[in-house]
Amino acid sequence: MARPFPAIYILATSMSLVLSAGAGCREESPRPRVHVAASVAALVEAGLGDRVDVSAASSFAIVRQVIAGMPADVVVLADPTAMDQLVARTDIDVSRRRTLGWNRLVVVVPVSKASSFDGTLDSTAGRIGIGDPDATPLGRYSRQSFERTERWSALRDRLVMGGDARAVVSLAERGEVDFAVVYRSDAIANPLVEIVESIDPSTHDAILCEVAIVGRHPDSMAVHDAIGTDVDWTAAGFLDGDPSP
Amino acid sequence: MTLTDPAVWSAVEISLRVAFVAVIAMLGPGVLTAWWLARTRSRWSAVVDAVVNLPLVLPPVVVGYLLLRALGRRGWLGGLLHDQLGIDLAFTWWAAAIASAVMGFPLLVRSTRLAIELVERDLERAASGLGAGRCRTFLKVTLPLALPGVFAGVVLAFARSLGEFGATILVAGNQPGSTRTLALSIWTETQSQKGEDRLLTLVLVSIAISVAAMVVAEWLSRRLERRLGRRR
Repeated sequence: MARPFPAIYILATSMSLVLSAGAGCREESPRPRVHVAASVAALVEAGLGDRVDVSAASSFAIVRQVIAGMPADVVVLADPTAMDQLVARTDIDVSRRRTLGWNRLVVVVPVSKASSFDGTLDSTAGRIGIGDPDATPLGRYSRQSFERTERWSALRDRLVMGGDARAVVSLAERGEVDFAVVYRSDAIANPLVEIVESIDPSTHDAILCEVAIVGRHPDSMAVHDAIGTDVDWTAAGFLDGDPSP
Repeated sequence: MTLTDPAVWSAVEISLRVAFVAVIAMLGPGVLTAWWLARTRSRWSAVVDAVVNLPLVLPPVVVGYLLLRALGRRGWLGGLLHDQLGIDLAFTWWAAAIASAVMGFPLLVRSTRLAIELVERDLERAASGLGAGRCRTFLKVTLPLALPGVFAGVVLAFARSLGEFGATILVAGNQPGSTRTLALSIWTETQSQKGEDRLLTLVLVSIAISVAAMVVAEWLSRRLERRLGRRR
């Protein structure tokens, strides 16, 4: 058997190099940490990507993690009930809560199947991509709408669930589902899916996208003010004005 | 604690079903592969060995992604099944079982192979000297003597299946009532808006099942050892 020394020596040297490189990075002042709902990640990234650290997840996951102590300076959430949960915490200081825009739900089909499609979600067999109602605002709104129109139990067996809004769109993009219920903003600019149906906004809670400061980074205020003004959200499919139908 | 929560029991039922189906499906191929690897000297041995062990060293999400590429509607197998027979495998509990089987396969093979390698070749030679064919020697001599190793492999693979997460969520999704296993349920609860109640129940149930599986495995393996006359 070969002597183990050289391998261990090389390993130790390389590890210490990696660690010291990591320590070197830490000397820079950290950038503001912005946690955003998956549905608006691309927009925030486009506007502020070079100034902040953006991480995307479902709004419910963000709230759970912030409550659990994840460092965060600014959050952008796609569900006011999620923001309410943060506000209700006495140990988290939520300030400057502001609405960025509102969204609607649409039904999309993969673009490859769009030409052959006629009929509706209910009349056509096939799998339906939807946000997980327990884990994503998208799913919560979708389920609400299906329940209020009394279709939930009929459609339930056809559902394939995604863990955030982005994941649901990609189910449709890849053709793994025949339909998907997604945000209008996610569908509008996406060349791989086609909108075939709009969902009546009176069948679910208003889909408000909100931003708020939750951390103490000195740039938090500037970042908060820039979100929603640096990039044209209406061009990206978000709606202005009063969401009540 | 909400032990009457139907979502908890649905997750338990799916987890056990997936794990049992996965283990039963891999048992035959696993034992044969282990036997071939233990008793054959071929230039293909190294290649087969590497392929079999790949899921052990690859990140589970990579396995999940590769499975999705194969079983999804745009995958070579999934596409064929969908277009020709109208069958969808991805995002069903069958896909979860396949993911578990692939992830657990190397554990079963490694353990079984080790046990077969420890079976004295003289015993096999004696059997064939007495006129038993290769197949009969394997079934009557090698396999019974290697049984504790097979069993240990089954237990490991079963446990792997109960804990499988990364590959499953990619290829089977996370649908309550069909593919939401215990592990996926726990993950979902950590993402959800609701409280910790169900999460705690799921965690405790999951610990209970693992401990129970370990106890049963220990008991069975002692019985097995006794039957083989190797009791220490």
